[in-house]
Amino acid sequence: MVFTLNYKAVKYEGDPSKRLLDVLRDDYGLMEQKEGCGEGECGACAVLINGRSVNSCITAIGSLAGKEVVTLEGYRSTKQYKALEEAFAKSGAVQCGFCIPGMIMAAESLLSSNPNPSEADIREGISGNLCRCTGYNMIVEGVQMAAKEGKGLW
Amino acid sequence: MVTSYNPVSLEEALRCKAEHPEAVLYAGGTDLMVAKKELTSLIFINQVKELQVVKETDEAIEIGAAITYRDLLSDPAVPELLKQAIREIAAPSIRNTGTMGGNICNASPAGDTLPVLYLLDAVLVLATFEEGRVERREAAIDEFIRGIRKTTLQQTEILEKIIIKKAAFSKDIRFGFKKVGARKAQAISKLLFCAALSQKDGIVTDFKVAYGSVGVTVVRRKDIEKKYTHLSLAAFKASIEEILNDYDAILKPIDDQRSTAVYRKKVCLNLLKDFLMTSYSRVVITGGTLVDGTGDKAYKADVLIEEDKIKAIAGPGSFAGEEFQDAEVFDATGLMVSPGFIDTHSHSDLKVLIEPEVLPKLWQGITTEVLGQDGISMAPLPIDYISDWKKNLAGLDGESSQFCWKYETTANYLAMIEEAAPALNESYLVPHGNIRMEAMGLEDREPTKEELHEMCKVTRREMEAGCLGLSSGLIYLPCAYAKTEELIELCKVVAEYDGVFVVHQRSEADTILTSMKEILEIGRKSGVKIHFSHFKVCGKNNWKYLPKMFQLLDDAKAEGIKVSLDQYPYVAGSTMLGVILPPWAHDGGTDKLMERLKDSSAREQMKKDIEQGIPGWDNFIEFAGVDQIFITSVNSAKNQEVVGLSLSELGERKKKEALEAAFDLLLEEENAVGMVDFYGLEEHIAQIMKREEMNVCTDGLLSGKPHPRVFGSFPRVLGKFVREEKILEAEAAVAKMTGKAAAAMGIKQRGLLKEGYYADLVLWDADRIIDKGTFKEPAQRPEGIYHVIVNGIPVIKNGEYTGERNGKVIRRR
Repeated sequence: MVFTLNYKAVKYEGDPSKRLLDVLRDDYGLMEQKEGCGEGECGACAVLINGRSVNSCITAIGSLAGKEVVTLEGYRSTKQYKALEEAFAKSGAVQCGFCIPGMIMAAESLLSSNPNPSEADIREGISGNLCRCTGYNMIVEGVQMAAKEGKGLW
Repeated sequence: MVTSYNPVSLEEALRCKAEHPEAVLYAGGTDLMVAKKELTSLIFINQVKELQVVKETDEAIEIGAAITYRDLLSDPAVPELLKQAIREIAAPSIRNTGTMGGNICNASPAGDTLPVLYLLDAVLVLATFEEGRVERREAAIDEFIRGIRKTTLQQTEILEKIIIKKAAFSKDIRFGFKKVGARKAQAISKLLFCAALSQKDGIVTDFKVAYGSVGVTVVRRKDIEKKYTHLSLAAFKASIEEILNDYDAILKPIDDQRSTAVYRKKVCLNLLKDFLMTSYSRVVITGGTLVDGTGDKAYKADVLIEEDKIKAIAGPGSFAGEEFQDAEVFDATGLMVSPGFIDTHSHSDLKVLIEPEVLPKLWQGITTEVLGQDGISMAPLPIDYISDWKKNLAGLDGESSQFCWKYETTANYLAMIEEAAPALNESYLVPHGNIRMEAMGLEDREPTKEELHEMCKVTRREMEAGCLGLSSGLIYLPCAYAKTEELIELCKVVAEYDGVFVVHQRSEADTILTSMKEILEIGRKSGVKIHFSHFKVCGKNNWKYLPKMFQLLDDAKAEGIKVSLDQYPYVAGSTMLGVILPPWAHDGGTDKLMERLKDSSAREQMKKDIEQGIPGWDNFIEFAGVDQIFITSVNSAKNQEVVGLSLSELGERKKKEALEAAFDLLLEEENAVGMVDFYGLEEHIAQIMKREEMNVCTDGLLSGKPHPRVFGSFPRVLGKFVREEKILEAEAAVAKMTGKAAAAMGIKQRGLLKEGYYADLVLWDADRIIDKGTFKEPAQRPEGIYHVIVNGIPVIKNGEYTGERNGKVIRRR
């Protein structure tokens, strides 16, 4: 089965029911995506599939034939990532960091379809991503700031 | 290893399923992958193109079973009701892959789209590959789902699409929808309610109700629906109790980890009742004289209200025909009909959460309040400051431990008001003191540049949450620490939103002219609309300033500064007893104040300052005197006996100097003492009332022994100042209670009797209306107010509260 991983075509021949999360970590050494709950509740494992955030812990690799998967490792090379990184740093959005790869994916997924989100849109956009440190306000602020400072990127 | 197939066409998928009936279908995977079943083979149908389309025909829409929720949400053909349900599902990452076909075939009792599909009589198309071709059968959704995770799906079948007839979601139908879950996202529902009602020519054409999560499958009872369909709307409306009884009898929810049977049933019935009461509700007000809030001459006309809006205003008898027989009729013969009164200065901020009826306001015809006054109120409230702030607020708003104080922001506080379901509309000003506290604490100093920046940021956040503007109370702490410059910066933010700056100015006595100039300067420099709270001048030495005060208002307006003001029509004011102390006594918050009240040298200094005065400080003892300040509320049980006493009487009772006794009381009550003070003359009230910028307010503090204005401000203006003393015409007075108030606060679509406006109305008798409360017995209902309607629902009928709570939280738009 062929799909795109971080902008490169790859061939996968293992178990099609294997979770994308495990494939990324075991087969490709991509560790940014974390397993939090393992059942789609926490968003720590989120990646982008065709530009939209998806929980990799409840996605079977076999469903991804021909799809474009981007993990944080790949996304890091983009200008959009830089804007988010800077805004997250400035707003103090990162504490322990466990949820952040998923948060970044959720933010990208939101901003790509809604470049000028309201605070409510942002809260909705990250509503599937749990953070146990920040209380969310700084993360919301980070996304807001990225949208503002990175105007035109999305 | 698991075998898998990746068909891209329906036929391919069906052939595959026919050959491998044991293979499990994978659409979005969001349930399947959580179930962690032992799988031997999988058919991925997420890329089958026929399952990915929404098709619109003349009569119906057909939704492919494997379209993601995300794509359904952006498809204009998908009914809004279905989208409402979809938006409630999990969170974006789940909606990016989850599908409605999955939701249906899983047949969970809590499936979020299922009640809507039942309600819309969705039909499923199930396809198989048999004898060399694709065969299809149709099944209604309630025939297809047979129990918990049980359906009639055959092993070789695939759910192809869901058909919903357009007639089922036509524009004429009123829909109700509510998912009740433990949190906003990622929640499996405790219960889900949806309903539909439609009528044609006064006859009910559709009545449907569906509930999720309260039975093994969706509960929809066509037998009950049938019983009430085809009734006249009037007969239907008269049957609401009976309908509720019918559903009460058949709903049999269970206790489980998410909720209880009792809660589920109660909420199911309440949601249904609310839907039935508000859908197609019509009220006709006939025979009355309309005083419409514009200030224009009163005229005779009838009013038709449909649901929450004024549908039409027309000549007497216009809404008497048979087609209006379902309407509830109010005979307003001999009565005035005016917009519901708007109280631009209210202190129900805390009480509305625990006593959401706010009856003292409703009884006097108030249908909208503006909360968040005087720069100190409920939100924003950083968690670290809760205990200190509760004490600071107690004198104005009261105390309570009946709700959780950890709401932090205005957005959350307003949501709590919504949860409490008030009987009248509530709106909010972001209080300057709360902003200051969040940005820099409670200290007596100027903010640093960063802190000022932070204050502006907080102001912006709270304006975004829907505040009408900013309030300050420059005699209260920490507001009083602020210099003019700070307020100008905050008001610049408020002006960007065309909000209003509502202010209890620094002085209402000796230095009132300087104080007014400061506020007008803020308007000049920031461009904000200025609204003076409870405009007055206190103390007989200062009454001479009144003409100059008016001159300042005139000059400001001539210059282009937007100015308005409100007033309560009494010669005594009410506030917290703590204001008699010099400002420094409050530095650092209530705990510090308590320390000072325990310290005899600090007490001496307080007394000295009170006796000699401090320039720029409103010394209540000086202008009202210990004989004219009365205690109206205390927190503790043991001091209740002093409520009602003047400070001099308190001194006699305690056998101490009046001030010493007052200090002791403040100490024992941790500053939570309310008071009234007599400050002025009736003729000044009348002069201010006649000002064009003036509108009426209550400034109503609801706790303890209240000021009579809480119960009587509005009827007092109409009874005493209009009827008895003829200070104003009724039309002008009503405009000052409605249209002008709405304009000053930027409240849209309220305050006038106008087609398309929200139906907030009050019906009153011009010959009888009067306030009844006195300073000794303030809690008296006014007379002459018969009916009050809030958002189309009568809440006071014949002077009695109906038990309905139909208020809304009004957010700036």
